[in-house]
Amino acid sequence: MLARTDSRGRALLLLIVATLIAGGVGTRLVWWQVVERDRLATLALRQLAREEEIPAERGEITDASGVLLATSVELQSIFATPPSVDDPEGTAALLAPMLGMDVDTLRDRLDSDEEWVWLRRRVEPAVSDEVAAMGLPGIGMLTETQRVYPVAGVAPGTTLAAQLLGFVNTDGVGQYGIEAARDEQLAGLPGSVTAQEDVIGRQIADSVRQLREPVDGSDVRLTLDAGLQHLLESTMYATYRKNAAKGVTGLVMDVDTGAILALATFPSFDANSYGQMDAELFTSPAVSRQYEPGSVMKAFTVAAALDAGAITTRQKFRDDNNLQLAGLRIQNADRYTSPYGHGPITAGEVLELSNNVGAAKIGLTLGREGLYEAFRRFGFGSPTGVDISGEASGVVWNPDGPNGSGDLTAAQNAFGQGLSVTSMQLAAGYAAIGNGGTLVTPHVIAGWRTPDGTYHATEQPPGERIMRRGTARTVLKLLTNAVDHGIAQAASVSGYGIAGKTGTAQIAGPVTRRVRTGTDADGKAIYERVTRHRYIDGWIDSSFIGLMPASDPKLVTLILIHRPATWGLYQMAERPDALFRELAPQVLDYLAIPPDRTGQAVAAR
Amino acid sequence: MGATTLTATLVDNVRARRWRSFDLQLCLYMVLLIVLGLVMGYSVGYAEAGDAADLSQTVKTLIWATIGLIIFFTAASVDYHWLQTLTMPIYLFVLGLLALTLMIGTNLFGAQLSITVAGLDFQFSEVAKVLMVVVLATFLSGRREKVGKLSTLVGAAVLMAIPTALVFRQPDLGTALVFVAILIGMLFMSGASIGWMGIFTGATVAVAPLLVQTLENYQRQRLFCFLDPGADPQGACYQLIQSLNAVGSGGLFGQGLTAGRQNQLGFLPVQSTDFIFTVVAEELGFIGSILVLVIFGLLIWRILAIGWGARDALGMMMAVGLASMLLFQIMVNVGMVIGIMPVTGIPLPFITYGGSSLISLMFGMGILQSVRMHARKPTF
Repeated sequence: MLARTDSRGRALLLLIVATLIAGGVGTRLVWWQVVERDRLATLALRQLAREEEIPAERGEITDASGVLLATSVELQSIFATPPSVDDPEGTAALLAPMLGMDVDTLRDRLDSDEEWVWLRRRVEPAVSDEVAAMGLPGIGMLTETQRVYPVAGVAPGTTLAAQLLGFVNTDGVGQYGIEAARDEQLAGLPGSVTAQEDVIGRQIADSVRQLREPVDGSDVRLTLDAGLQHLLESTMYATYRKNAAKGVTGLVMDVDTGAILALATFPSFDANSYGQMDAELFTSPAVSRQYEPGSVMKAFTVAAALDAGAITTRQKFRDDNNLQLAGLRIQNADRYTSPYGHGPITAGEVLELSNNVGAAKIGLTLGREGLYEAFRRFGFGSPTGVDISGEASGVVWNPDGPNGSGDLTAAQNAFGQGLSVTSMQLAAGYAAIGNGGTLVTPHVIAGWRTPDGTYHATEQPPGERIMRRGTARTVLKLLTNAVDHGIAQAASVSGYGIAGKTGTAQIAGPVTRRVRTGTDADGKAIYERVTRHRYIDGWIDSSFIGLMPASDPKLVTLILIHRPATWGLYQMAERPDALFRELAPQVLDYLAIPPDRTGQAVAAR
Repeated sequence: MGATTLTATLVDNVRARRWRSFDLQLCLYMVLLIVLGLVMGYSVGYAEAGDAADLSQTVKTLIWATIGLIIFFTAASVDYHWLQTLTMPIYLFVLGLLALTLMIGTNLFGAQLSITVAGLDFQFSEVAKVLMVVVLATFLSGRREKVGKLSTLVGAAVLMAIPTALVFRQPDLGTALVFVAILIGMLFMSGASIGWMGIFTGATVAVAPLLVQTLENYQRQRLFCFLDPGADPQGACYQLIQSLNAVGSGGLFGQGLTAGRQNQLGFLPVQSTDFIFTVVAEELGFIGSILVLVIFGLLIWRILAIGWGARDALGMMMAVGLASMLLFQIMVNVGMVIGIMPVTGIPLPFITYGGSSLISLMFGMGILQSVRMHARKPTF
């Protein structure tokens, strides 16, 4: 053995090693338990905490007078826990007819290896009551909410204002329309409870801490009037059928506030069974579809030129039905009846005759830059800000921009071709003419009621003045003349002055033609099939926009018939101006707007 | 009458002068640690059973501790030299038991670690550790002047290699490492050639990667978690991550007994065994952990002091062997819990639940009391 001193040396070494180890352990303990304490404790707590969601109740949507348009009901969803189903065969046989399911499918689900399966979600209360009464082992129910749109639409298989309202998907998220645009307000905030759970998920009793109460969604009140909506839908659906059209849009809006009173678009869908509907039907074409408006734009051309002082109402423009620009010839729609034009005409006559050459010349008199800026000022080329989701902005090319063709663009735009707009933009623009020159924001939400019962009216941004009051008055008068004496006489309503403008625009579509592209070595012509976007014969957007009563307009009404069946020179089963004549008295009557032309017998209308 | 004689012998024994040098401190630290083990075991049992505390483990530990105390006092009262005489049978007994365990051991966590006798699991590798200290102590103290030679080193290594190989086969990496630690500690303190030891250690380190290759996949993964606990937080490193979370949650003062969330909610999968120090850290905090470590330190100091004052090399070597064993186990176990050592299945002496470990350790402490009481003159 070692001498004691030697042994002591080794022992000392061992002691040093042990001290170093102890020091290391101590340091590490300080590190974890003092320095890193909060982080680790948080980590530990986080894995213990489980958040349970308490669903909030989704708000209702009502019309201006409180008619329920969208609400939520609680329904039972039926599920099974297959391991605890005693007799899959018998249970399936019992439940299949009640749930409207196939016996074999049901048995397979009950017999599956899954721990848990849905059998049928959101069943009728009668069915769930019956299932509950049977008390079958392994069959259970969960309460789920279902969005219901209680008012049926006019067209079969639709709900009222379906595209305007949108719907709520299975996960409770609003899709399209108001449901999407105001999802946050409607949905509210789900509450949550955090509880600490152990490894197998048992809640620790004294640890349950409510973090957040659910905040129920607000009820949204629309500016829409369900009765008027029904009326408009009836009219629009009838013409949709009569014209065999691809689509129709009808819109009635308050000119002073921009409040939408009725908005009917077809084809529509059934929001209560949106799952079986074509997804293309979900957006409202009134805001999402952009199209070449045609002659309805002439009112804005005249307004722009008058407002800038470029023309006067007495100024005459020579219409020879032949305006040549950049190798293209601009002609009038009535070129067959008046091949040499109408001679010198005023701006008012341009609107009465819906004269293309005259409109183009007015536009060019103002100047392409002035016209472009005026159109942009009138709201074209940018979204109106309407509170319906899916709004398009339309396209107005700058004549001097990369996509513009100088005077040709300006001349075409002056009579509503070569640019695209939405129905909502047109309605807003005409509303400005009707209200004295202020561009208001179209809207369909009047306000909302928070769960505590207080009502908040939607704050509308103050309208923007886009033309002088005098200009608006003048254009309104010219438009009234257009209905009284012009080609839109079909829209006149007895007892009321109507200011309005028709528009018929060709629609471009893909056209495949055989085109000679060159010659081969032998000098024989080579042909290829080329698809181009061209105006297609017989494809038109036919519209009428009216302001009434003309002496002091309250309403702007837009009727658009998209791709009606046509024959001859755009003959169609029912023209929008004629439809307006049928619709307007009913609207005026419904809203109790007094006649402004007492000289005519009201009873005779 | 035999019984009377026995009683008389016992009374004589107890009355003997040497009991005056009975090391009360050693006994105190040991009892403190055992009580701590009981308390922590109760807390864990509380966690596992929910409201109605599961006392079965506590009761079992109490039974084992009682048996242990009897063994402790018996060993203390007998001159430790009897062990020297019995060294050969003891060694064969160890080999036999380990071989038996390997053959018929019950399956616990995939490793054959114990056999069941009369309903109580018995882990022979725990007994083997203490007995191997005795064997090596006899061997080394018997070499006397030749202790610095290579033959001593080789002999000790061979003696230790067989049981080490047997436990390694179980597979019980932890106990195998403890054997190696005992060997190195005792050789070092016996005065074996430092040069040769260095060469052997170097050789072992060189073949270590090969040994790692022979490990089961789970062992290998756990081994390297401490380097990067984020490597497999839901799998191999789950225990370590949960352990660190628990240690951190403890903070300075701990969350109180039976109030450690990680422990009580079952996030520490094997709380009652090797990760018991985690529960100490979580429920008693930094102060508590340091206190426990200080008690361990005092215990080891007492053991070495006893070795110092021993009458002969045998007593000295036994103290050194037990101290090496305890030191290594504490270091590796605590180091594992706080992420500075790889995860190996090494129990924390006295505190980790396990009857065989407890009575073996108490037997060892008993021998040390005997060494103390048979010292030539009281020291320290």
